[in-house]
Amino acid sequence: MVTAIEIGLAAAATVLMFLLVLAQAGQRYLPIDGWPWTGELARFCLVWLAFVVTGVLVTTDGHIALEVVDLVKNPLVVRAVRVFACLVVAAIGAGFAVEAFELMQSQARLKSPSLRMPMPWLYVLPLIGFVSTAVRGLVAAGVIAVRGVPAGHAPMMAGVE
Amino acid sequence: AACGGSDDGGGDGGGGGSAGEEVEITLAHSYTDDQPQARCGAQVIADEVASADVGVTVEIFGASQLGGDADRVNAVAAGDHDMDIQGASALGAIYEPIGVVDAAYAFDDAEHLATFFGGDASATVRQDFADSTGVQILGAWSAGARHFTASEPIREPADLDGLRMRFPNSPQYLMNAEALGATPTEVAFEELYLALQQGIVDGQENPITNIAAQNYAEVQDYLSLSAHQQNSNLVVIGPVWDELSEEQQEALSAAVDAAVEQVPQCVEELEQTQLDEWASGGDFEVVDDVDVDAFREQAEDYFSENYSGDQLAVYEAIRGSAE
Amino acid sequence: MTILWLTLAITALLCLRVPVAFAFLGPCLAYMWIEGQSIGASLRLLTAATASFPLLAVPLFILLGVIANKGGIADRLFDFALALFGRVRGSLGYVSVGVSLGFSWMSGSAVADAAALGKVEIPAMQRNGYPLKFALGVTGAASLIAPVMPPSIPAVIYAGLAAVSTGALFAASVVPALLMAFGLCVVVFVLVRRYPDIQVTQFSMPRVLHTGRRVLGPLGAPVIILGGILSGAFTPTEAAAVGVAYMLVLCLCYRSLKLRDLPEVLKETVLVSAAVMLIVSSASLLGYIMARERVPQQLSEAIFALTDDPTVFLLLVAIVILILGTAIDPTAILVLTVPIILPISNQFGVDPIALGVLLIISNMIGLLTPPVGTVLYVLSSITKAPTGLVFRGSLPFMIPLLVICALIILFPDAVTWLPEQLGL
Ligand code: NA
Ligand code: NA
Repeated sequence: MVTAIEIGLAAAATVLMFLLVLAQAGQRYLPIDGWPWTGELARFCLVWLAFVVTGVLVTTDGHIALEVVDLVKNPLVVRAVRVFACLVVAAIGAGFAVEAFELMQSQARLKSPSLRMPMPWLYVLPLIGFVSTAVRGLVAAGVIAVRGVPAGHAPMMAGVE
Repeated sequence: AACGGSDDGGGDGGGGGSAGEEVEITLAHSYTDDQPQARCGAQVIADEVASADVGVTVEIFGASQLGGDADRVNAVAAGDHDMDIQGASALGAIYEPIGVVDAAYAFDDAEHLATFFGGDASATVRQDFADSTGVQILGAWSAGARHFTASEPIREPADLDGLRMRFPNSPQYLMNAEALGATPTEVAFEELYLALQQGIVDGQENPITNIAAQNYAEVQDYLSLSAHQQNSNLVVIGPVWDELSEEQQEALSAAVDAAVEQVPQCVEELEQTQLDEWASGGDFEVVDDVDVDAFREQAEDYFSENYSGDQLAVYEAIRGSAE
Repeated sequence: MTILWLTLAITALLCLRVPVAFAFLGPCLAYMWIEGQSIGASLRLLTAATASFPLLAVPLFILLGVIANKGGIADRLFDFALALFGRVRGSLGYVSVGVSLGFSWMSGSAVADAAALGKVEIPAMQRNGYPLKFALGVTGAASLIAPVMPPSIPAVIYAGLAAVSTGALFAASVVPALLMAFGLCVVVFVLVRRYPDIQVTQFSMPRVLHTGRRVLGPLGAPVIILGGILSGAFTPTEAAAVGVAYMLVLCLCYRSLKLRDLPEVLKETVLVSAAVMLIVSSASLLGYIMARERVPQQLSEAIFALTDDPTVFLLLVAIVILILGTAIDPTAILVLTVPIILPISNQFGVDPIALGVLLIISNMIGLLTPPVGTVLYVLSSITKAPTGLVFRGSLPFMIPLLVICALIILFPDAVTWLPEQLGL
């Protein structure tokens, strides 16, 4: 449910971004006055898209990682490393959540140049993403500590190399 | 931030001032080493401060190493680095009325801009800016007047009809477009060369040094010397200012004054060399019979009508200081 | 000293399976807080790096690729390519290079290219018996043609930094980009002889015509994107959006994609895009810290103190860029090193256009080298293959790229020949 909301927000940002870039291309050919803010809002959409699902990617193991430690044969070592990694991610998520919260305060007076959007709005979705990262990192650490490392992804690797 | 905070009780710098350790001030800007803003601006400030020997060193980070203009405006206000060189429109992000400095034909010429910021006429806006943002304006120079380049010559406002002109994406620049009678079209700076080359937009506006650095002559036919805006560079310093002794503050201000003195000369030399080169080259026609008065009148009418409150006050202060 | 600790911390976290983005973000955030930067400065830098107009093309081309893939376009393209070239051993390898070459005329960034084509090419190669390692390698290496062939985002950035003609730099890049394609085909030729399992089919004219009709629609996408950019209708970023719109309508018409599939398409797009963008932005935070600590300057100055020979100098430049490229984003490297390298290069009498081409190609190789290689991550992310496999797959394809770098180092004047002929 929470995951669906986070992905939904990112998907909405993507669709909006796509429509805005299309509109920016289109408004030069239509007999209307262009909106100078389309490019700006599209760039903000990219920020929202990039940061709101950082938490979801923790749960789905979708963040790109170097799988050096997976070569270790001892399952206990692998499990301990994975728990540690999840805790690190949770701590960093918390740190950036603090940053997002702080920016929402310190930039409260500022507005974006074209759209006149209050700048704190830019940091709302990153705040959600990083809080989610902290929570999901902790949960993932707990799950792996108790149940062990989940079976790996990589369906396409089967039978190759 | 500065390694300062060394203000161990000494206080208001009545005498010695530079007691304690060396204060290191970081100065960030977006120009490459050979541009006049770096060569005759930032470097001069650093050299002058060093020779004043007041326990301050200025360390320069050019070429947008510490981020783009918009981001550095926030960073200098937050004290993440100490000094910066910024256009007024960019500073408008943290205090809107300062953007008026970039209004079309606000200043008569480069000298008018320098004397405005050096004199009492700007005292109110500088104070309001500092009170509102915690950032001091130490001085300002013009990096040259902005002119139009386009696929057509632009001699009078009517010539802008039907041309898609790229203006930078900030409220003041978009107002300038309206004031001059242009239809602003949004193109990111990174894509501007391609957009001009392919005719996605018909023209743009920039000072001569930028037009040369970005090679727009390759993709545009005409440079129309409209001089519709002085390209302002404000030298600003963040919260570290209050940690400096009076002597240090004076040395820094004097250093900025020296740069303000030198930059216009450097810009002019560069512009003349470039204009001569274009004149001899032949494939980039320089239009020097632009009806500047027609543009100027139209712009003044527009801004007198459309500004209000603090913005109008700044605009009137600038116009009032004209010769 | 600080930078040593930062590097050690990042390396340790990477080895302990902390995701790449977080392995950068953690130590960087700690640095920023310890160094007394304001709380919020780090996130401000991340969002500023992300909110860039040219980067919008990244998720858009990822979206284009996902739609094309779910809509069965990959199958159509490769059926046709197989019908046409099926008799040639390793045809899909050449097709992959050729498609990247064609795509490079419309894309200015390797990341967008890898995202759009990787989704299409890699599954098709796998279905036809090509080893995944080979498919990843050829796709990744071929994607590097895009930022070398004009239009090129790094070329535009370099031309601005070095105050040289963008047009001349574009013209100078065409031959090296074509050489890259040729060199990659040579590697394909050598490698495919070792793979006995890949399919070779008989040539049949009816089959070519049948499969050919089925790709007319999809081939409209590059025509619209390329034609739109070249005719001046759109900027490259806008062309990406128009391409998405076209592909979406096409797949809906083919009924290979239903409206109810769209949530799944979007989900895949946002997860892949976000994973890539988070790393791109975290690399920029690292770049900020490096700049603050003056790392590129120190490194460059130390090495440039060693020689007075232009060839040795260019060799050192390439080596420095390749080393920096392992860990720093190419755009950041250009911004950080050009202001230092260019004046020294001018003293050596090296043409700035030749230097630019060398910098861009050597920089782009870094997109494929761990620990930070954006193309590596894009391919890893869309295929779920480990980054190590992508890197090992691309290793043989780096040989021609390095040979081209060596040629530029030995004969820098040859690079400027074409632009001079064109009078640029
Ligand atoms: Na390209
Ligand atoms: Na790399």
